[in-house]
Amino acid sequence: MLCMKRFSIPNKSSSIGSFIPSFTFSVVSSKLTMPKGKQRKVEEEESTRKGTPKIDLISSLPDSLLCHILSFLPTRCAMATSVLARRWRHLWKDLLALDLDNSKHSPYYLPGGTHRFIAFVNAVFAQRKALRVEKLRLACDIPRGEKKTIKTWIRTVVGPHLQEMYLDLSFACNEFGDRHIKLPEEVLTSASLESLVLKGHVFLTVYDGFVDLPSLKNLELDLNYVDPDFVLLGCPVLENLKLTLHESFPLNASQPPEIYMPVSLKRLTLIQDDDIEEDINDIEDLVIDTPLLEYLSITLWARCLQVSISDYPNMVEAHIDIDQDQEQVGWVLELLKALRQTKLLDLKLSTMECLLGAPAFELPEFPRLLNLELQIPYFDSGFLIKLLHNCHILQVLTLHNQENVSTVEPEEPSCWTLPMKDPDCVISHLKMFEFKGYKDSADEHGFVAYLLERGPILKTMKIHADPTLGLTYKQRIHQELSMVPRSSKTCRLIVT
Amino acid sequence: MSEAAMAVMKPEMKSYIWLKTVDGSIQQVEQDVAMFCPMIFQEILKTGMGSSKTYAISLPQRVNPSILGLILDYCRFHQVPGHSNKERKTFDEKFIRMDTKKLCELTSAADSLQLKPLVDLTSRALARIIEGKTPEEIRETFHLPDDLTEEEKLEPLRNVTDDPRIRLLNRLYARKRKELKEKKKLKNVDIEEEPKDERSVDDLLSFINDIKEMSANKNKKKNRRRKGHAKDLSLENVNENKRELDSVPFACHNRNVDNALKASPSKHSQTQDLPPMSFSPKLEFINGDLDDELDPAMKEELDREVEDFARRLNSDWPERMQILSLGQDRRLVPISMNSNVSTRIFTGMG
Repeated sequence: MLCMKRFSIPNKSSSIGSFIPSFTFSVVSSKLTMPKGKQRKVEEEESTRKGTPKIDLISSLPDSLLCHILSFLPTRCAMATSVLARRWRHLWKDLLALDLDNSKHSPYYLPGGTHRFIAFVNAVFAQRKALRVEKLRLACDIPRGEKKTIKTWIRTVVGPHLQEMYLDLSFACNEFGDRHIKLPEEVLTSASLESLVLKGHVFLTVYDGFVDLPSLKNLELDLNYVDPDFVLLGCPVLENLKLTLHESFPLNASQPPEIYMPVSLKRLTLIQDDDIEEDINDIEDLVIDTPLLEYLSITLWARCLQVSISDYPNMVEAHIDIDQDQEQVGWVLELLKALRQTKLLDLKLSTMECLLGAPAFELPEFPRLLNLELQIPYFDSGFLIKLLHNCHILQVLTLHNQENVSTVEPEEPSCWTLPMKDPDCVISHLKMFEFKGYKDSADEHGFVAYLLERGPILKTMKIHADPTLGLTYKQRIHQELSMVPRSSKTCRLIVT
Repeated sequence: MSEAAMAVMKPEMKSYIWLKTVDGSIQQVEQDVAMFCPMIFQEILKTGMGSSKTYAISLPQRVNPSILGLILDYCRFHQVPGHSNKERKTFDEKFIRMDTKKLCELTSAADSLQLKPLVDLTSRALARIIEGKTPEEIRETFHLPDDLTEEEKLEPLRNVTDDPRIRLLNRLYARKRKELKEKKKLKNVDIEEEPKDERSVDDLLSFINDIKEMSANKNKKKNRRRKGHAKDLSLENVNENKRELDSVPFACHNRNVDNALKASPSKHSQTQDLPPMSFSPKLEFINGDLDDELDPAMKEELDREVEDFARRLNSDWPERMQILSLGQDRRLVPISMNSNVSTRIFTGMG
């Protein structure tokens, strides 16, 4: 029997992933292998050298475990294992998970048109033995005329055992006409579905009734047209939500957009796409009444007319990038207060701008905060010292001075004054300090020097000078700061 | 039972559980750690064993002492509730670094102890090892026997871009040829292959009908379905399918092929008019059955026959290959007849 050797023809990759299309060449190169006799000799030598007989490592595992291992592989890869050995020939056919990814960045992308991918997936469905599918991941472009095929695949997969579905379908750029694929409604009323990810040009409709997903824990929607409320109302036990709002939100222009977050949420990511030219509608009502929330990431700039915020006692990590007019900024202040139990707080420039401009801006206390990152529109040491007084156990502080990009100006320029009392965190907790966009103003220098002098726990201080400052200037900064007497002997000062 | 109950009821005192591996050696393990394994936990609850050396819990045979040590390390870390997700992840990444042999043993042992998180962790690691390797490399890593014949190895390639109806057609076609060839053999004449490539579609269909009759005796149940299939295939569709397959290449390097592919999207869409038999839930089972209509052994035998036949056919018939591949220049320069030929014939026919 001829042993197949490595391909001699240049190949994209001779790994098992691209194994199928380039298989022909392995046959071709069989002529180039060593003659049989020699090959066997080499093998014998090797095994005698090692001294131990070659034992099949993985055969001790039962078929079900092998299948479990295959379920973590992309389906093309799993299918290719059928040529490994007799035992593996039909193993992949019992797989309950299908990972069919033909997106351009995938290593398993089949070039030359999606038709090959369609044929491949048809073959998978035709050949597999298992009657049900528990997990489906499908990412591809839909070529003209193949909408029905893809919907058929989805319909085949939906059933009482489907637990996870990931769909990332888009139409090729030159596709005209109806650019949406309607999701079969069985998906939106599946009692077993635990995770649902929909991206691209999928269109959600339910013909009669509503969305009913009693087991759904994880939901990710990144669709061009979405009415989030429509979906969220049907997810009573949802724990993770990632919602991306594009320009076509809301779906129905006559209905005011409302978003009610399910009460069970633990992780929420709400992103409003920045890439829009036209005016976006206001959000009529935003309700984030989620006392179990642990992770929050918001990027929002549409006007929110009514917002309900509850307290978040379990908050661990929060990233806030909100831009609101002065009339609406009140709820942002409320949000900050609700986040006071967090361990990590990351406030982006827009948030800081509208907070600093707010008339009644009161800094809440952050009793558990360990890590704080701020993008500030201008440097104000007074404000920062006040903030440090409110973060009693802060360990890591990162500042990003974005004066260059920000349009917000301080009412009066700040100047450095030694604080009456040292903040607790500086004396007993602050380990790391990082300053980006350091412009070496007197105020900035004063603040940095203060931290060096008064921070006995400080381990690392990184100063990234503003790119406009030249190399010699940076060296001078380093020199000046190195001369400041440090209360922490182990503190490292890095200036870049 | 009372001893075990006592062991459970004293949380302040560190209680120990006794575990016995298949080689007879007995270990003493902290109760919290051992109970992290569902299998041990259930054993304690159900039978009350494990509270003393004489009543040690017998672990499944797949757990040997060194692997047990690893598993207990894993349990010891993860049963502590205070660790953050990040810490657990870091531990797992470090924990999983071991040679492949140990990884397989660990997977097996974790499975027998029903320790699902560890099973998932090790399975993913093994999957990562498999992914990105050539078949030879995988066989080398796991010491798998290379016990498939050449033809069997080519099967997935053949099937990937195959429409199941065409595969069926091929199989019937090949079987028919084999029978005819055998008949000729018996007559003790030089094997003169029929000029089948010029045959019209009508001929093809008549073949199918012939075969149907012939195999009617063999297996009536299967035949009924096949009949249904054959009837579904109209003339037009057979042509379409043939062309579809010819234009779908296996190789990804030849530009001609890619052009041909782009040129024929309409043909692909036409095949959708055919009843989508593989996808309606009711028929899915049937179609799956069709594919593996014979039990695996017979199927392999059939495949082998077909391939053997094809090879023999083509070894006397090199020119025919050019015609069969329908002029599409996607085969490489002449190579060893045997292996190449079997690939080519299957692309030619579908």
